[in-house]
Amino acid sequence: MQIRCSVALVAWAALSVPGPSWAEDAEPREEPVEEKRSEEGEGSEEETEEAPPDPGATGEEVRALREELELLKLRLEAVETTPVEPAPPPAAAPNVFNPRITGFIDLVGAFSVSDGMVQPSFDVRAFELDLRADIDPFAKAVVVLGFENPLLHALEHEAHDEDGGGPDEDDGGHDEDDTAVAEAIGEAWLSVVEEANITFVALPAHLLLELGLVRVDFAGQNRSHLHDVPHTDYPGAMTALLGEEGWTDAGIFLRYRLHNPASLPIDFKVGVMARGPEPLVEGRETPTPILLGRFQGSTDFGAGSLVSAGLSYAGWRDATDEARGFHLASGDALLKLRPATRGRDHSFYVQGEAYFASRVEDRNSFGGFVGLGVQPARNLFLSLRADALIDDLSDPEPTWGAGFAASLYTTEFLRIRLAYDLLADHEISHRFGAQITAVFGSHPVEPYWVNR
Amino acid sequence: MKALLLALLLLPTAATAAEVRVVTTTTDLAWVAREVGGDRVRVRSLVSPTEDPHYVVPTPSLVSAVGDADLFVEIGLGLEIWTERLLDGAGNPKVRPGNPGHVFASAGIATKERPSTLSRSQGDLHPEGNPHIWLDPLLMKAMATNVAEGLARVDPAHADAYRSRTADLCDRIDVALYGEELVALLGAALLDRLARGGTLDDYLNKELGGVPLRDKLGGWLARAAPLRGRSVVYYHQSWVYFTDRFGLSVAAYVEAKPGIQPSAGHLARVAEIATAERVPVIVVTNYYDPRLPRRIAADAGIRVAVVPLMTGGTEEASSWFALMDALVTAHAAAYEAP
Repeated sequence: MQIRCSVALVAWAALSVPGPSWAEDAEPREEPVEEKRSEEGEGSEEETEEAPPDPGATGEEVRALREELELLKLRLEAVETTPVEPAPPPAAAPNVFNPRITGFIDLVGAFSVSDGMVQPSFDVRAFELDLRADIDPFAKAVVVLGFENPLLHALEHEAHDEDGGGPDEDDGGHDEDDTAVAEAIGEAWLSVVEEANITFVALPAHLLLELGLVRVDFAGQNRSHLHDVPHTDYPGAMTALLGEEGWTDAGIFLRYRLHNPASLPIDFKVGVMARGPEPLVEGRETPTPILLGRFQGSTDFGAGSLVSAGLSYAGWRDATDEARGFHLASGDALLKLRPATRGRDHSFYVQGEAYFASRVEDRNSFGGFVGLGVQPARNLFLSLRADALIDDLSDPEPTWGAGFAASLYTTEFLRIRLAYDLLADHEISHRFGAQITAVFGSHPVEPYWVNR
Repeated sequence: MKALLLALLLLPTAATAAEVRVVTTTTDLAWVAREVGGDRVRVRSLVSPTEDPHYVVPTPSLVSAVGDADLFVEIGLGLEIWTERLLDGAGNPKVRPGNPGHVFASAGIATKERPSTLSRSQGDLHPEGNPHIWLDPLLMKAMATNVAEGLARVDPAHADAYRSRTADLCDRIDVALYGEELVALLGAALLDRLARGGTLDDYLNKELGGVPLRDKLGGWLARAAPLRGRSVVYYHQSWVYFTDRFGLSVAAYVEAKPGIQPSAGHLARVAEIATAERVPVIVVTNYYDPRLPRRIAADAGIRVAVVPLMTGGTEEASSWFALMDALVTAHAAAYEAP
């Protein structure tokens, strides 16, 4: 209503007062009026009033003003009939402050053929619950709860000992493991806290501080949860030195990214941890901390293509028993290519990690793995891996293995995998496996279309 | 060695103190930042213009680039879900969301296609609405304003210059969209209001001095006028802002659900729809695999137009204006072709 009155008033003023008074209100109408006045040589309102009437000029002026009025009416109509666009409604997110919750279900089936024995198994291997959220403007938190199937855990432990030359190999049989498997039937699931950590993300000088239980940033693949790696299990050399589930530890970690003109990512990380990798600190009695250092550099060449390399070191010396301690070092490298072929996603990677472990007054071990992956079609990934371990360098008889996996993704959230593994220790064994991994909940749509 | 490390630490600060380092996710945002910032800014886009912005691998180099930024600009609306990792790893608190150096270019924009139900069974949904907002010139003006305000926050000494350049950019967008004559006659604010309300096309039938206003329409809207009410098949659900602005309708999508590979049955249905509705073209963004659309096109006897979706996506689309030119031209050509 106010607009209608104002415009009517302006229109009346335009028709009743010759001169430029209303033209100041609207830029688009200003030029014709001024041009007309300029042609007539009229410099001021006073001169207009004093000049003798010129019917021709007045007619032109009236015609121009009528046009302006017509335009004004059109504009008024537009304003009256077109509602102002409402402000966007706020996103309905009543649980916005709750952690993002994601569940991972990992089903594994396998036929293991070893020493003429065939052992089938199929079950849910693990369920993982991942919760993460900002704590405040300065920190984020992650908690990952794992629930493991005790039966599959026992079976895998048995297979690991058979293949890896574990403590049962000379006992004339597998009685202990058989008992463990039998006992595992019907047992409650094992629940473990896989991660519970806080990351301070608002520190100055490109620093990141991580506190709590983490998957230790040692070498490359140890950072990944089991359901995230390209095969159904971790490489044998890694599990032999870092633990069956990799190395998870409680500690404090500080990362510094070297600020450089080329913006190349060059990271240094140091940490102090409470536990150490289980195979190297087994039976420890004192809480002497384990020290960690890592350097990593990388560079991109094209979208999603990169080369990176890292060096890691961890060391520990038992404060009360000088005969106990270790030095653990690793080098890792990754080349990842993602050629730009218009949605065809033929990515490729090759990666390798080498580990050296020196136990104080005990054996030295050396091992590593090489992996290769290709993506022949958007949803299909093929992976090859070979790994080897010399548990005692003074008696260099390697344990080695090789594996192949084909992973088909229906979407980023559901993966079906077929795998074959050849394991060679004192004897050869074969394992044919299938794995189905489902991710559900608030996990974002991730770029799984490049090999991880 | 110490001296070298010290030099590495200090060099970037000294060398680039005069510039605002802007990191954007997409090339369209990089273009906006350059237009608004002029020679005051040094801009880097993280996403290549021929890369699907949904699926960017957050490599350490991208993390490092964000770590060095004074201003980080992203579309938001769930388009770049990978930025959370970059921002977490960058160790650069000033560009984290909520801080002065972070800009959601979509802030304040009323989005379209907000899903009524949220379920993964519907494919890759964007809970806050369709994020491909840069394909609407009106929304591009809002994006530019958001970028300008971000620059003004991190470089307040030049705030007036950023706002002035933004006003100039908006004027150029108005002329490119409506044509110079109509903008001069009615003013961009009124035209925007009509366009947003969906009444501009009807309004242009009115006459002024016996001449239809439509005769004064220029720019992209005039070139796209023959397309109004026509149907197009698209690959992905990226086009709602473009089709709404230029009066096109979507006959079908090659993807049955966003981000999900279509079944053979769905492809056959799309071919049937294209034939029944006499759709002459399937428009595919140049970062998608064109083989499936070509199969449909062969079945339906129609053409495939492969187009850029982002600034720099082709040699021709070297600026956002050129991108919009290319898109309007590609759509118009599809209906003009015999």
